[in-house]
Amino acid sequence: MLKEQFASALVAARTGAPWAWEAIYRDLAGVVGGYLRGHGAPDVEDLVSETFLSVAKDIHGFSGDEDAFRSWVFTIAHRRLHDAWRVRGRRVPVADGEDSQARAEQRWQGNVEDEAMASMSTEEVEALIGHLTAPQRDVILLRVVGDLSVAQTAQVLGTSEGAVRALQNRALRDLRKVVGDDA
Amino acid sequence: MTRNENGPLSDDRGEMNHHTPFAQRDADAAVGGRVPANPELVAVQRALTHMKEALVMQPTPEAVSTHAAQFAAAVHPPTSAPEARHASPWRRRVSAAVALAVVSGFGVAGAAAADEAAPGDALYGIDRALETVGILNGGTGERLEEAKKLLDNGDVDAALQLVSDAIESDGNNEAATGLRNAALAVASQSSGDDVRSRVSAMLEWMAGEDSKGAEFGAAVSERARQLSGNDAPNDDAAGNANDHAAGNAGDDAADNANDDAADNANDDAADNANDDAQGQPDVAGENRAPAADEAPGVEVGKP
Repeated sequence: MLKEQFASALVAARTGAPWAWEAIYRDLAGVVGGYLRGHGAPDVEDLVSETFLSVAKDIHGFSGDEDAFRSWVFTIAHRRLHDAWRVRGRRVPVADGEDSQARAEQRWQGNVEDEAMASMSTEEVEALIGHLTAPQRDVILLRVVGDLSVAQTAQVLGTSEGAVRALQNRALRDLRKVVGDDA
Repeated sequence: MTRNENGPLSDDRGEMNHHTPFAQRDADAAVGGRVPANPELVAVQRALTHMKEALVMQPTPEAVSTHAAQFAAAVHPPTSAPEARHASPWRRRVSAAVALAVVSGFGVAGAAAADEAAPGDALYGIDRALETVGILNGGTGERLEEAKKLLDNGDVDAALQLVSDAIESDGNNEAATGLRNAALAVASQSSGDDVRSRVSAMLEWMAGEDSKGAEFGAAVSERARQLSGNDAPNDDAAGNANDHAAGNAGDDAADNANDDAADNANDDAADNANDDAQGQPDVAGENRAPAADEAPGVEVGKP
């Protein structure tokens, strides 16, 4: 988050000041890329670049605070992701019931309770996320990776806050079954 | 999934215990990287935190500057079509100036030698730019206020860009370039903090200045003289400023004069940016005072 720097960064970004775009990109590229990566996007780096190019081209049309800005950037990233899938003739991967459950259980070998384990492998992340339906995945990735609030997530996904909370709750239930409960 | 805001969603598989939601604060903690009070969610929170660590990859500094330049270039100029035609060469030059400022670390003195730049040339350049600004009919006040805020945050580069834009939108493109280049020329001859202090003080004062037209021009020159603490080149400039201001106030044909100013400033900037031999350390002490409070801890232009 740029916080109190954001307002001046936005003003300068509209003038095409490179420092402002550096600040914005440094702040958001990691999490936007993480969101796309979590969705198993092809060519994450390209999609991140396309997302920020769209942001730059439309920056004069944006007004609002940093929260609104982040929602907007993720909305664009989300659309870009779906565009990329459409272009490639691929369906948005949907975890549908037993298949995904079986697949996930088969591949999920994480032992995240182990404090010594610093991070997950790509496969473990895929396995964990594989437990979720596509809508749950949207919510979890936006909330966890994107650091978005429930309200921001609802805005990105074009749905209600209630729906986001319901999806989040169900996702947490499902994940709990996988990661165990010996806390 | 079909959206249904009022009831269970269609992907609900209906186990009874799934209908009891987690407490909102526990759910928020679990996805927000904070340990939830509900022990049921502690392991989930940890897994999600690890997932985040695995997915988020910070770009390298090289990637940041490369991409940022690309995005900055993709921003559409906010000007209308006829202005845009006029603005295009100006934008190129300002972009070059910005790039130069970034490369030079904005305030790190350059290294190469220039043959003929006399001491005080950079200050003279800034005076020329300001006197050109001075003949404008105002209307830049709001943008200057914004620039002041940017300076308060230590963003000298953005502030100058903003001021340049403001002046350009007043129809005086060359003046904007002149200001930019003059500032760059000062940057090449002074230490980083000194540049920031002086530019900050200058712009802050411009923002607070009420007078318009010729009066503004004269006041700007007077101020520039105080700022520089170096009388010789600025007496000259002040004289010119008043001449120009008197001659050009309200005159649409000021373009020629502005071309001159811009060209000179341009040359100065190009020469002096690479010129280490013309340092002016003497101006630092007394001129830092008004601005030091305005731009604390600045770290602009250190890529």
